[in-house]
Amino acid sequence: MKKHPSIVILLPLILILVFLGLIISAMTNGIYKHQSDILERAIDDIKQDVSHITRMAERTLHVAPQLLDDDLTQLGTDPRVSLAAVIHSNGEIISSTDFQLINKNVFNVIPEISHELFANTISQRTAIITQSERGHIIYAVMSFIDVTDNSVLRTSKKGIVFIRYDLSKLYTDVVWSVIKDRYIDIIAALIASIVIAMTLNRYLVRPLMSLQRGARQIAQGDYSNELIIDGAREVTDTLTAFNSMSNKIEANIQQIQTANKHTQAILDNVIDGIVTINKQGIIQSFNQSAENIFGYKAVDVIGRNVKVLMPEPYHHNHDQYLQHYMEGGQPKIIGKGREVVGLRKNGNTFPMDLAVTELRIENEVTFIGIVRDISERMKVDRMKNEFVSTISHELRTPLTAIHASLDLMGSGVIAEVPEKLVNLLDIAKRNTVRLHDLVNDLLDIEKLEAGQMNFDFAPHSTEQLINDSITLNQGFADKFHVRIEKSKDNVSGMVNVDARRIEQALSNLISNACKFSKKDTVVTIKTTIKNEWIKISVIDKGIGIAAEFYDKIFQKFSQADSTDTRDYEGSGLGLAISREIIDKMNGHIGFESEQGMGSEFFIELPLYK
Amino acid sequence: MSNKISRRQYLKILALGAGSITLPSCLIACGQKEPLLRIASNVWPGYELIYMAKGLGYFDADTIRLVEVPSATVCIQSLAAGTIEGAMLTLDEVLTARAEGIDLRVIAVLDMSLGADVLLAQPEITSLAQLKGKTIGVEESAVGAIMLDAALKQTNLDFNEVNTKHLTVNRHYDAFINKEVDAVISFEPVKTQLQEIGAQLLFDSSQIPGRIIDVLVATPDAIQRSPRGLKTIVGAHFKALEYMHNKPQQAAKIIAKRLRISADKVPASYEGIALPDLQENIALLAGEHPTLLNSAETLSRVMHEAGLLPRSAELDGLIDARFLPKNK
Repeated sequence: MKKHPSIVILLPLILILVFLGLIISAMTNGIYKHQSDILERAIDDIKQDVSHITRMAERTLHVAPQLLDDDLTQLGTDPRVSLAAVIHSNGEIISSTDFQLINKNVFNVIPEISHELFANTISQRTAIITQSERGHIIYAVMSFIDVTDNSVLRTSKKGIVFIRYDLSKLYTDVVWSVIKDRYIDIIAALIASIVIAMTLNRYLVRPLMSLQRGARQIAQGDYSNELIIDGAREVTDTLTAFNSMSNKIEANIQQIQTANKHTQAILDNVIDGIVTINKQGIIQSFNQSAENIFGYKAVDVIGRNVKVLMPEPYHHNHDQYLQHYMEGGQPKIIGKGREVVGLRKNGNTFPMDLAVTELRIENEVTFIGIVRDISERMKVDRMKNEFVSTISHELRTPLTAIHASLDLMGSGVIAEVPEKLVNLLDIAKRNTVRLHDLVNDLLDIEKLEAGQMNFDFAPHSTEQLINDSITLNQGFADKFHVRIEKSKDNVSGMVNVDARRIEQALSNLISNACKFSKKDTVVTIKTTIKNEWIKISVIDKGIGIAAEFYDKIFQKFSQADSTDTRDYEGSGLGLAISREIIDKMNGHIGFESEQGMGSEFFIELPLYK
Repeated sequence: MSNKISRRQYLKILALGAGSITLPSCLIACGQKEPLLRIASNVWPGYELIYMAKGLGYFDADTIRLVEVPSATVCIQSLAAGTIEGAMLTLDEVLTARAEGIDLRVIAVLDMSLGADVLLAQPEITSLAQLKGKTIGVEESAVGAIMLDAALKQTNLDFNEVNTKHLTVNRHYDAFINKEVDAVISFEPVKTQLQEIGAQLLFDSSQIPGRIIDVLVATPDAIQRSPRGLKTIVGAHFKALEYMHNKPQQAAKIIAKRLRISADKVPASYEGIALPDLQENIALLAGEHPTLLNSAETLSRVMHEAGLLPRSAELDGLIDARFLPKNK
């Protein structure tokens, strides 16, 4: 920033310059006028002097030259006269204020007098007055009749009188005297300027400096000093405003600090770990619970890449993943939650729930990761699954035996079955089948969740798979008086799947459709291809699904009306199993429904090339 | 960086600003030139040192002007008219002027006659005593009266015992040759001319030292208004005197122009003239009882007796020694 001089110096300086300008202008006028007067008077006087000496010369030169000398030399006392001389007709100086010139030839010693001027002068009676260019020097010449020669009655010889005025000193003295006259003005201007400077300093500059100090203190975070209110009214208003601003800022800062403390306390006391990172993956904050979960202190990890909290392969891929996302790629975790594996400081890995939300504050991207250690929950889950599996196994063997026995009894091979018993045997047999299916389903889901189910992948035509599934479910459909139809514009594609498992999933969807269809309606199987994916839809005209049930539809042991009447039998595991199967086949499962109008469940599978 | 100006600094700046304007203004006011100082004189070897000083540039011709006049009479007239501020005069002229109401102050003694004024007699008169009853030609001037008075006193003759004939200096030679007078009181260059034809030197001014004195005078007005100018011109006189002692030939060249004689004749024109230096001037003018005052008293008495002064001169305030340069 360019530095300007202080107003305390600048303003008085300008004023002084203005005053001086005015004074000098007045002085110049005064000097000019005085000098004109001097010149005017000098011209009058030199005329008088030259005619006086001329008269003296004519009257006394031949009788009493001493008298001429007396009068001529008296001229020398006039401060303006620099030289006066009486010159003989032959050019010899007879008398002069400068004695050294006496008897000298005028043309040699008085430069103003040329032969021409001499001749001019004696050719007339009037005085010739000449002034120098600047008016400093004026000189007069006048002729007189030289009567020193008494031999003739009237001589034609003429001498001249020369008088020179030098006005330089008078001109200079005028300057001094005018300056002296204006001296008081100059002093007054000076005093006025000093008074203005002091006033400015007292009422403007000093308060401004105090303001400057105050602003500096605030810049350094010191709000404690109140400015002293002093100075011109405008300045005191400013200072007052400044003080109130300072107080307000201080109050606001305190409020913000309190709010910050409050927020920090919440963050520190929440059970979940909260880790924030920037778009480069650098950890920005790390709360108390995060410290407990990962075993790091916040100070150890803030500023480091979040990768340190991840085992391979996440550790390796995270940067790429983040960059991909920032460039507009699809998120894997951001915006949703997921179970992932974390890495503690001591090197142990652990399962955790991770939910990431993206936060944009003024174009600055921050990702907030909420972390929950689920090791304990996982352990419990595993124990439960193992328990179910064990129980299921233990149930299936006796069930098989009971079923076989009931079959034997029902066939009447062993003994005649009394009419009353046939019905009871039938009920017992049906329920063992149902129990058996349930155990199978339980074992399937347990295997799928534990990742213990083996898949036999091979390319299959979807048409074949659909046909097989229809065949399998034909009897079931008949039972519900429902017809299964393939859509006329069906397409077929090859998919790389385990046929038995796909058929299981498709059968599940078809049987569900039949089960929930109204009597004498059609269940339609429809296939479409889009973007290298084939979609197989199972469409019914059944009761549809209530909106509040959408979230639970693929969960275990769920049926739309599980709690109340339970009109529709089934284990409630079918859709959960189907989803697990389709996930393992790299496909998607989903549905669309409108309550009372029917549902469409679909499977999407990547086409095999 | 802080642009703070402390109170002290601020006052300094103010003072500096004020000073920078006041100082030149003060110089304008305080240093204003004194009015023109005009000193008149006729041509006389004793006065020429001041003209030489002017030629040597010892003072500024703008502030001090030397007005050349043909005679002391013009000087006195100009002093009376107030057209000049100072003059170079003989002490008797000063006393006369003062008696006529022209207040003049002696500020320096320029020269003293030590033999330049003489009483010359016809060859047959060999002693002052023989002058009894004789006719003595003398100028009707103070110098003439003083010389006559002193010469007669020496031989105890009275004014009444001699006849005096008033003669202007241009008539001295002729009157002496024609024996119109038995003796004449004269001075250079008549002195040399008469001695060549055998005139007897009976008395000269060297016998009455301090009686015939040339002084520099100033009006009280000039003393009040141009003290620096007066100091300058007095100082210039003594500087010129020093110059003449150190470089007599160069000095003679300068002086010759105004005396209108050749340079080699200049030393002769200073014969019989004593040029008191600064020390002698201090002795003459300064102190409680300046020597010059005694001379003035004697002179006053003689002049009064000779009828040249209506009464004894008032000598209070005659001398002002303030313009003599401080002794080195």
